[in-house]
Amino acid sequence: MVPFEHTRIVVEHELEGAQAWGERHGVLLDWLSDCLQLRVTLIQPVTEAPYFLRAELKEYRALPPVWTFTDPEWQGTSRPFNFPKGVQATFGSSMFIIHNQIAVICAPFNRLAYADQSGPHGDWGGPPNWLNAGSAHIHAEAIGDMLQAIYRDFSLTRERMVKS
Amino acid sequence: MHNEHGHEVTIIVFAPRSPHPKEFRWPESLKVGEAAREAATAFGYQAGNPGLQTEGNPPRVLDNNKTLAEEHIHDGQKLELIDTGGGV
Repeated sequence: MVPFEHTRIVVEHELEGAQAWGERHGVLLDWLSDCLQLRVTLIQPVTEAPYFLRAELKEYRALPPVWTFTDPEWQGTSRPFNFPKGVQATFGSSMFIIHNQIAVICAPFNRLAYADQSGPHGDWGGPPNWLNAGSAHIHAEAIGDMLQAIYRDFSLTRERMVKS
Repeated sequence: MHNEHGHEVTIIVFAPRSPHPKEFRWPESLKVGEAAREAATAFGYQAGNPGLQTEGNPPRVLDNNKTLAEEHIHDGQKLELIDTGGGV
């Protein structure tokens, strides 16, 4: 169990870099320190549709954040309509996938990618192993790095994962 | 500027984890992947698959196997460190 205040201090230190990244890319970050939640509005290229990226940071860094796209009220998780449709890129497969009818940002730095959280990966050693998991995949150890990684794949998308 | 390695360029590199950029001086003949690895180390990255991309919207991801000259990187240019690994 990571103390709430410890997590808050760690996150706010990392957010200094993440905020600078957001300013360079025109992305607004909203940090809710009382509930350890980060809200990021991303605008999809071409469609200009807003997507609502949320990170729950309780237990961070013992465990990775819980990253997901939500509805405009920042509620709900894993609904495919709230996710962009992944596009294959030179980097390899997109991290936006559907697994057992659930949409997930599939990367080692997302708690929801692990099998014990209903994600696809039972081969990454569980969320506590996130800093060493999936070495052949995208690697991100700080919040700014994670945002850049998600934004990299998001910037290639042009539609929602499903129509409704 | 020239030295024993040929023409050099000064590059400003940003990293998503840091609020402040770092400045590097590299020969134009340096491979992008080698430059990215050096920058990543300087920013404290110990793992991953570092690469570099240009500023702009959309940014252009540089080819790690090409030299800075082949990627037309000029003196004073700003680049951003990225990870080039895939998802899933």
